[in-house]
Amino acid sequence: MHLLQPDEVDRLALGVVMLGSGGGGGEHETHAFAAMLRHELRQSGPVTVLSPEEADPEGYGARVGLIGAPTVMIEKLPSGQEAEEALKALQAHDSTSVTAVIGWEAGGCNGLLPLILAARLGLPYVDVDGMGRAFPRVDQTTYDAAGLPTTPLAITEPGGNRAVLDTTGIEKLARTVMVDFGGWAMMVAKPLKLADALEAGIPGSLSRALELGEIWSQYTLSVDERAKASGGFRLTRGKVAEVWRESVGDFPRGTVALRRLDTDDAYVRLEMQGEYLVALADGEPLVTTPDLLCCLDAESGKPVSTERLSFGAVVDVVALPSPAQWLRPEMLGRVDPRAFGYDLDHVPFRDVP
Amino acid sequence: MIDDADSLTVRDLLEIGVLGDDACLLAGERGVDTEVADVRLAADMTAVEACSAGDLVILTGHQPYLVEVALRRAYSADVRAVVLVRPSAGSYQPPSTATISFANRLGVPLLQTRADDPLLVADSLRTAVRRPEVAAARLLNAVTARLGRSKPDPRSVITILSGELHVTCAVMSADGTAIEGVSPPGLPPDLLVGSVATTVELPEGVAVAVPVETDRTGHVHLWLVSHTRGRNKRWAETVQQISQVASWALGNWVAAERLETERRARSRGSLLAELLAAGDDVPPHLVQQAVLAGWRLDGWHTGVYVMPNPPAPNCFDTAHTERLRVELSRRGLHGQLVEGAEGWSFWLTNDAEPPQSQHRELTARLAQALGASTLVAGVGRPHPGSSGVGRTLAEAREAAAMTGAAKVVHIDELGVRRLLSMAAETPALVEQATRLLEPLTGVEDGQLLRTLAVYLDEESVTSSAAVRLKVHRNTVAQRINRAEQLLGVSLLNPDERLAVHLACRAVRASDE
Repeated sequence: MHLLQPDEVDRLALGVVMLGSGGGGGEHETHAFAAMLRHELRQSGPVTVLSPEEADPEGYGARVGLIGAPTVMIEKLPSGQEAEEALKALQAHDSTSVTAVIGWEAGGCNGLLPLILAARLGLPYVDVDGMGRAFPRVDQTTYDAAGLPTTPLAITEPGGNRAVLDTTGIEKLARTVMVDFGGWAMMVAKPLKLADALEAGIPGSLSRALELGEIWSQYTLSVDERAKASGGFRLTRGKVAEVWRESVGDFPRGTVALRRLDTDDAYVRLEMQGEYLVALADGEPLVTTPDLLCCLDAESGKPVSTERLSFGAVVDVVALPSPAQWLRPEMLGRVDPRAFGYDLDHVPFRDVP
Repeated sequence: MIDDADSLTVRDLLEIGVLGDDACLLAGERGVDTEVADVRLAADMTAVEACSAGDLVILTGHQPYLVEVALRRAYSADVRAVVLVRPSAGSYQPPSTATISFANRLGVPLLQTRADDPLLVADSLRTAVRRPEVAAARLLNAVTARLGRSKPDPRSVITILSGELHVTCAVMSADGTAIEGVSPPGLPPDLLVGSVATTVELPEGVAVAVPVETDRTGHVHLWLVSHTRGRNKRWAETVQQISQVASWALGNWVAAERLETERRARSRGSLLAELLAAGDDVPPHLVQQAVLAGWRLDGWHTGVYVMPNPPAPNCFDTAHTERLRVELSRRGLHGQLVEGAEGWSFWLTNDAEPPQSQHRELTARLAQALGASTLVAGVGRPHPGSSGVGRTLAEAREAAAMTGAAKVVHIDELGVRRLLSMAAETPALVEQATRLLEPLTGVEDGQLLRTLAVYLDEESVTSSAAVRLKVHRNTVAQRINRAEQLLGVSLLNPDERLAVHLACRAVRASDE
């Protein structure tokens, strides 16, 4: 059992951004939720974080997630009530009593939202989630892969609108509703029995986020040292020579050519959608999703999201290994490069000097 | 199987145009001289991986990462080139700097072409590489089809050849002048000396010359020269074969043009003959034909008849006519020139009656234009209207027949001469004159008769006759006195003077 204190929030925020792999809301958006979480923790006291072994297998865990573009929140501010509203709306259809809050997506803003809900409801948080990082689609969770239900699903927005969706193919419907709700919305999915969630999910992702936050806030260490301590490596340091983005299909796509600063006339290419998905050097894929890729500003050391990477920026590209659950053959197909439309196979994570 | 000498390289494929008009090499120039053995279309990485050494890969995707991965696999599999197909419409991301830099480092040629269907690019490339004779046949087909549809003049033929074969063409005369199109740079001057199709290597590619028109002696007047940038032997042969076919079309054109020119000359000749025969009353259909021939019938016409002296029946062809036309127009004489059986009719037309001074100037210019040739010319008086053409030309012709030693004669000069020549030609008159002047024959070694003739020619002025005869004028006066006594006439009497003068001329003319 761990009591999450307000002074841990900054580390946690940095950690979830690292797990975001460039997506799930960048530093700026996460910072807003970090402020909300810190405020809640001060108001309602620390959140009890239960490790998987400590949780009651018979209890039910609620999961919450934001859908849409976190950047829109600058224009459309959250009220702070959306998650509770959504849970209430859901409970009108499904009277399962909720005994805990569990994670859905550990990477990006969605790594913080369940903790805010737990603080507000005074429920414990069980350290498990469905991704162990950030992914763009609702069905890209280990819960979903294990056949656990996502619907009925309640979706709300700050204006008070709410919808309860019960359908297969929730992805498309949820996104349609989200667009009509104004760019982003809060979702609460059908509560999962904790035993099922713990078996199917990725346990320990909050601890991992805290660990990464701890490591990456040690600015006295070199990037290589911090990457090594995180279990990954630094791919290269490079200057953005070209950025191309296009908005065809469901998610924005982009490709970035980084001119390596350590070698003459050599480039590293990053393929991105919501997240950084593939890194190639000279036509050879080096790191591929679901392994994580983070770009860190070479000067400030802060993570740079896919949306904010721009021409001329000098960044360190850091690769971190994926949660082991995704690498199982039956799971890989959901999240490997082909799932994102790239004609490439997953490359096993290996240390490239 | 194709033997090595004929295999196409990546450069050949680019230069012979099978990749399309918009094809270009983006990167990897180092590898363009490698030979291509086969062509593959790759829609995904699996297809790229299936390629083997010597292949050329056409990639249907163009995402930067895909192109880079394909380049890497192409390099390790010894693939000869990667071709990107840019759709004519829709989104396309041209290869990025990083991709181009990578291709350059690998030395794998990266090409880009524009086509709606990559399959068509693959088909034409594969045919060119594997079955060059089929590619050549297709080109031949296309060229003949287009030749059949268009006018076979040099301009169209050149357009068709350069469009289908991606060559630069010129129709050239044997002296190396490009009649149509652009002569390839660095073309050796002796290329157009022979009489059979020739292929020669130039600094940039190969030039193929095929004869278009050969005369009976085997001399080639006109050549079709095609310049291709590719150096492939088989390709040069294809260009030669297709140029050969195009040259027949051009030969056809030459023949048709020549026939038309001849026909036009003949019809103008007969039109003029009809016009002359019509005299004063020109029927409307003749007027119409004359207008269609570009002749102006109103205004004042001054006719000129040019003919060889002595007559030479073999010199009336279009070449001579053309030369004469050029000579005349160079002297500012812009008129209608019509070739006839014995000479050329030529006339100038003025709005108003030309001044008397014109004929002297015209005579001088004509003399210049005819120069040292054997041609002589007669000039008619200006006559107005459509019938005037016939009249002035008739006068000109008359004058031309009477030129004698002169080059150009005006009909006005002809009146006196003619009278005198008639006198010289009338035997009775000559007999009379001889009898009249009998008393003076042989007297003082003919001096008396000569003095008399000069004295009368000089209008009975003693001093003028003395100057011409280089004697004192008293001598002239005494001789005339003696002659009067011998002949028994008085030169003060106008009748007697005229009779004596005429007799002098007649005798002199008959002596000559």
